[in-house]
Amino acid sequence: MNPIPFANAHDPRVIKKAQAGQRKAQAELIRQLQDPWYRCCLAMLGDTHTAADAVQETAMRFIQHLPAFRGDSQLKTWALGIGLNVCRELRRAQSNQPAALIDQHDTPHPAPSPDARAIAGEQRTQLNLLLDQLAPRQREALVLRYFEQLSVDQTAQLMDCAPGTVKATVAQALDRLRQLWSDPS
Amino acid sequence: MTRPDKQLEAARREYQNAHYPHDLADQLGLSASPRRWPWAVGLAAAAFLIAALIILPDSSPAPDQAPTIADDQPADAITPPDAPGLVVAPDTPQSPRALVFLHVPRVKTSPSTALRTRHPKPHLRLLSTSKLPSLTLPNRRSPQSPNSQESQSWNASYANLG
Repeated sequence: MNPIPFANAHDPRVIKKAQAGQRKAQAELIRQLQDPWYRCCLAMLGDTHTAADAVQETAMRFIQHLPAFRGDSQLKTWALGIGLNVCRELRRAQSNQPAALIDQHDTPHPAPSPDARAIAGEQRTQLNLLLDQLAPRQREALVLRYFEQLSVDQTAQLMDCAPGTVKATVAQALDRLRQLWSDPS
Repeated sequence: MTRPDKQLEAARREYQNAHYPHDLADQLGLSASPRRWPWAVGLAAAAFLIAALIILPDSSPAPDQAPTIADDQPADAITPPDAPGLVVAPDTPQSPRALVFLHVPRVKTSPSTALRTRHPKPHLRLLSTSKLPSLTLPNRRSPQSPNSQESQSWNASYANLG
């Protein structure tokens, strides 16, 4: 699947049509946003199946709330905020009811292919195990600011904190990772 | 670049290379082609309306709109109504008359036959009101009718009942 350049997502005509309920425009926006959503959810949740569920839930909420989008921020920022809220809810649910969530995820999904298992294993060993070393707020700040390359203001808007707090949190996360890699013991 | 920085850069590349493995718009049913049947229903309804406008006659007058004729108008010049009925001419004691349209053939208004069918001539009969015994016309009474002999005899019989 070829990724679609995200620059077109800022086309106000497409956004207007999608807000008016035109399915073609909604599909275009969804295709442009699915990879940023998936990357963000995968980094936050650490599991491909859970991330895929989170992406679908995020997309449904995006379509539902799209008419309320006023354009005060960029569409990508607004859409990532929806995904971030879904990830927070899933993590909260995982911490409260782990057994129910395990059953829920085991039942509806077919067995992953060997390639998918290999990709998932690689992601868990390199990226997600790295992010597991961080506190949730540090992980959010690092994903949005460093990996997703949002601006400090956009990251602060999504994390509902001051821009200075974002800078400090990202610096703490990077120091923590450097410390872990320099001294694995 | 130090080793942690290299690892961090590798992690960022790995993050940006992750793609959602499906077409999310397809999964949500957004890319399916819209249903065509509403167009077919609309087209059929429009065709039905057009056919109804062509076939059904729409020139019949309202039933309460009785046609009027002038007193000196010849019967042949009177436009017949679309339905059989009675047309009453302005009545005078000197020439009471009424036109009764006994039968008016229905004109076919189908476009295929309208051009070929000549407008049928209605069957008219000019009758005098004296030949219609059951017909009573309110405006036939003259202004002197309350004082007429018939009215006086009726009033007398009514007074006897009291």
